[in-house]
Amino acid sequence: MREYGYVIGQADPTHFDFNISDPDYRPVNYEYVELEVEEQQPDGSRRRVRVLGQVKRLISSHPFYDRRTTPGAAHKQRQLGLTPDLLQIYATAKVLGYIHDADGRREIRRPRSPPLPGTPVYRASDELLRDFFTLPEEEIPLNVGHLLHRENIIIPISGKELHRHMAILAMTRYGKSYFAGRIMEELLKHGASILAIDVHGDYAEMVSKPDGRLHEFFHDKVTVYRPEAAERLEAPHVKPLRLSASSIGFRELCALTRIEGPRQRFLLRKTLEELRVENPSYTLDDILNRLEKLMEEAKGTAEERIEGIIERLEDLKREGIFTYGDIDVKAFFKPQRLSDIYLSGLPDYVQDVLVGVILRRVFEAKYRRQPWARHPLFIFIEEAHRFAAPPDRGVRFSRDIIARIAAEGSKFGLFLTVISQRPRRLDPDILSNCGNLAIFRVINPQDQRTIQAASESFSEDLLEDLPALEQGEAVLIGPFVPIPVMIKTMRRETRHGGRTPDVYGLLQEALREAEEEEDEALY
Amino acid sequence: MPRPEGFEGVVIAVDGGVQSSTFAYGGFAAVGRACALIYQNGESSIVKRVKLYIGEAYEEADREAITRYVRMIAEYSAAHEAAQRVLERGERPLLLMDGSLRPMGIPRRLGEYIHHPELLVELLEAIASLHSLTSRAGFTLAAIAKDSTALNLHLTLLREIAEARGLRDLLEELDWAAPQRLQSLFRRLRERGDLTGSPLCDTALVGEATIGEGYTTPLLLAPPQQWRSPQLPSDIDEELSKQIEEAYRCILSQPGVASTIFRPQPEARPMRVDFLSNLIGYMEPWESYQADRFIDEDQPLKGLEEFLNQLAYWFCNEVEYNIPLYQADLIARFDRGLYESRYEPLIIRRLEEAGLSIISRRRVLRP
Repeated sequence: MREYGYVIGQADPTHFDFNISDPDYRPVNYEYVELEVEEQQPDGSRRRVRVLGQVKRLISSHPFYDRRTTPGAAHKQRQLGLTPDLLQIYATAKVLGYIHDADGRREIRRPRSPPLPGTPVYRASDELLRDFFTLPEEEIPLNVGHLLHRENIIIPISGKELHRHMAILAMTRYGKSYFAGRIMEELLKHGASILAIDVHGDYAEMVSKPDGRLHEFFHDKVTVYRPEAAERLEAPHVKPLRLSASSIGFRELCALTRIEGPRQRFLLRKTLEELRVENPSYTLDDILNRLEKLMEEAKGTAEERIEGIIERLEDLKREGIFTYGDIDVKAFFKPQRLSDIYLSGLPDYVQDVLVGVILRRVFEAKYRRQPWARHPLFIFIEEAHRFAAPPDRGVRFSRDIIARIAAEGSKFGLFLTVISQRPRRLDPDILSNCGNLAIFRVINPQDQRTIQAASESFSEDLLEDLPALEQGEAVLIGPFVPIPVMIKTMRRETRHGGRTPDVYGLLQEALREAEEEEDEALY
Repeated sequence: MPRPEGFEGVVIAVDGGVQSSTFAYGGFAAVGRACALIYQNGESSIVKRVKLYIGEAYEEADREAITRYVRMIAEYSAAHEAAQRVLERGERPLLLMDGSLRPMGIPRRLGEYIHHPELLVELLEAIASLHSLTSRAGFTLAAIAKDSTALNLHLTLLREIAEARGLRDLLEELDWAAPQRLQSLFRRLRERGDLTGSPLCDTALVGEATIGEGYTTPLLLAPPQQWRSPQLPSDIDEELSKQIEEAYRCILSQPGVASTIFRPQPEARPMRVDFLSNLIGYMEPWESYQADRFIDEDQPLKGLEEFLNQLAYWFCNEVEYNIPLYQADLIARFDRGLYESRYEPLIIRRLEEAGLSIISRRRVLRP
């Protein structure tokens, strides 16, 4: 094995520097390296262990081009040429750990001794990397990506550890949904039930292959639930999402209609209670009819009070949230099934109510140990900052139930994944309950600080890596990976709905159309 | 600014540094380190030389001389090796050194030879060898001093004035003038009424001599008088004595050293450029120069001007006054940290291996 170079300078058990012997054979940033470290054993003996490290910084320098070199001198020096012997490249690497066999149990340990100066540093072998990242079958390995700069090393995440919830965070267009879709594919292969809150229709096409043809495996595993007011989407796997007013509680209805007066609230509560006795699946029209009858009998201020309630309820009716029928929550728990709640085109306000209602129903099913809800349910929430913002950022119907699922859902078999490009707008309580993090490119310092605050294991150096990540590249950190690791998301098997629009193609088409119209006008 | 035409050769820049340690009981170690950077075909290669002295030195003057010698030995041998390499490839070198080609600090007082004649022999042989190679192969050897005095120019100008005004007693005085005597000379001239204004200091003289960009009339420097007939002390080893005399003879048999003050740009500070006189066609042996004198008026200076144009091109500012030499300085710079961490431990280990006991608390490192 050919070495990159040798440990130089002061090393400690967490970091070391090494020089590059041959500039033509040098690592790239984030490359994995290995070296031997002599580690003291509990019995006092010493053993050489193969330690994995990751290049975090590469520096090249030349004494002729130091910081004092003026532009004029640099220009003339270029003519004289570089003295290759004096070109120095060195790298700073972070120590990741070594594999320790503790009575047949494999664990990753961090060395407590520093590498010695002069120790050769090699490119990490595939064998060592596979040893580090391969997960046993009982961990439910979900193959989501390749090791960054090493396409032949597949990095699985532990599906078992998803009970600690997950957050997928990144700037827009850096691959959050694509990555989430890849996890869903893997989970479906392992028989999981998945509920996706799909704001932009990112997962609505997972029945198809990327080329648009139906996927042999996934074509019958995905159902899209579309509310009537949502953006148009027609396909055999799309079903209507119906929700009646009876699905929400009295308090939610008051909040939605902004009915605040005590007498109005009393009147509305009484009306709902009476309706529930008659028909548990009452609609908004049923409430309105009942109130209109009451108004006919009322006089003076009572009449005005009822009129006020009717007016607010009619406003709500125009929003188109509530229709007849009810959500089929049972269907969400079917094994090996992705239930995609398609919210594209709906106003934020409506999305919030729908998500809150659906999640509450799901949580209740689990909480009440319904026999049809015995399978674990993996919940993915896209644009989570819309639903899981802190309470001080305004009323969010969905926020409270998401916070409850984050706090308690795991023990009932509800495993949450929040996906957002605005980590700073996520409720810190919800984010800190996500033990697993998949962080794509994030450059906003506030977002970076939020992420760091949410995870104890998110070190400063990982934070510095975030702006350098390219599309599809992520840092995975948390119990679902043996050590923090940088990956590139694997190619998806299914069609991704969250593609960047082909602006050029669309404008070309528009131009053609305009020209045709012009031609028609002429002749 | 395009690179000036008229010179087709390989630039070699040479610089060096020195560090030393003084131990108890007169122990003294000095390390001279030099590098020659050879610039060729858009790349540069390095010739490195280290000269080590370990011995006894009891006087400060002696220690200073040793450190000077080891540095210069390393510089001259690196320069020679680099020039040789270029010549072997069939190319013509342009060899640039830092400082002066008429080395200051080679003792004039014969008693100073006593403690370290073997180093002096080595240095003189190194100088002789390089001068010989330069004149034989016909390339340019020059040294640049950006913070130098212009004593020789000063004295020569005074001599010309004295001759023109018939001041014979002053002419005699000037033949033996040393820097420290100029002040008393000027005082006496003022007392006699031969000097009415204020005399110029070196800097002012140089400033006056080079108002715009350009160079002063080259001055052919006579070798120090003592080099012609070095009367060595009687207790010096006979063989060494012969070697010293032979080395001097060899240096003096080569073309001499000429000097000019050169201002590369109107705003730049002038620098003194010493060069071997073969560059301007003076091929006679150095020993034939009895006193410093300006070159003949009709002497063609094309070679010098081409060379100075090159220097002007390599000038950027007061710090990066000559890019090749600046680079050589960056590499050869021998700081105390490097000496303490790399060289001195090795020296001490070797001394201990040789059976010496090093008392570290008596050790003094030069700053």
